[in-house]
Amino acid sequence: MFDKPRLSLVATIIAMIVQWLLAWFWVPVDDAQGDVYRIIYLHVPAAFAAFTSAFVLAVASILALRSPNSSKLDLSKAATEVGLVFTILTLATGSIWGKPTWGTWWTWDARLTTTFLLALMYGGWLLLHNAIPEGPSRVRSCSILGLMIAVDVPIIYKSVTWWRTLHQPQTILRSGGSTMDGDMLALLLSGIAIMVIVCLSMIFVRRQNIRLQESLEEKSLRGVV
Amino acid sequence: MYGPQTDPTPYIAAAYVIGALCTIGYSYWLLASRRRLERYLDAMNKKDH
Repeated sequence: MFDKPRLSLVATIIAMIVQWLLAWFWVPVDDAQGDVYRIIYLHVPAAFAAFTSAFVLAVASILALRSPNSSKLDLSKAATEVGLVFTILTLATGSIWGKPTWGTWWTWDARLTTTFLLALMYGGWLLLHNAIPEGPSRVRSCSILGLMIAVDVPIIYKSVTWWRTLHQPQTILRSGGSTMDGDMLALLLSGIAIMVIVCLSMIFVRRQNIRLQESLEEKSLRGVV
Repeated sequence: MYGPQTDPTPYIAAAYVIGALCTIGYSYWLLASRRRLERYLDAMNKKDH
């Protein structure tokens, strides 16, 4: 009844809900921030999911550029849409967390700005895809933009190291080891893993839907002609 | 700034509601779209035959 991507999506959404329940009720409260820090178990996994989408987009773009005359952009489109969803989620949850901790909803610091740029570029990709008719020109243009989107990801990741930012520095992968409590770190890492699989499942289900839609359009065109 | 007088509940609730809309909501839309597309495709195939 359900193929593998759909099964994976349902299973990982259930795992994600379990992880959220643990984040609300099991993991200890933070000394400095109190309970509001629990947003980390959504915000950080969402960011990693957005980065994963960019990686998938980069791979799909490279494959498409190898043969632009015969390539379709269904995987790229799916990755871009899912990436945009997770980037918006990252920005929204970050903003909500920022208000009580920094006293502001937004600031133009390096990490926030580069993440906002990621959202703009994902949106730009979708607009570009709609603006150019199907063909090698669209494949080339969208794939080049897809590679540029992927370049933003390491900049976002290193922004807290390269520039003086309001955003807190790296807490997971840092020299000297993580500063997080064991239980908190374990739940955060499992949350990241679950969200990455949710993201990949969404991408593959969306790709299948795009292909189904294209197949339907083709059939209906043949019916008209 | 955050302090003992700040109630974190509205912030946590808002964040996770948006999270649920983006993840669970989007997933529901994906699965519902797929069912709809499959029904259309079945109908088209039946029409062809």
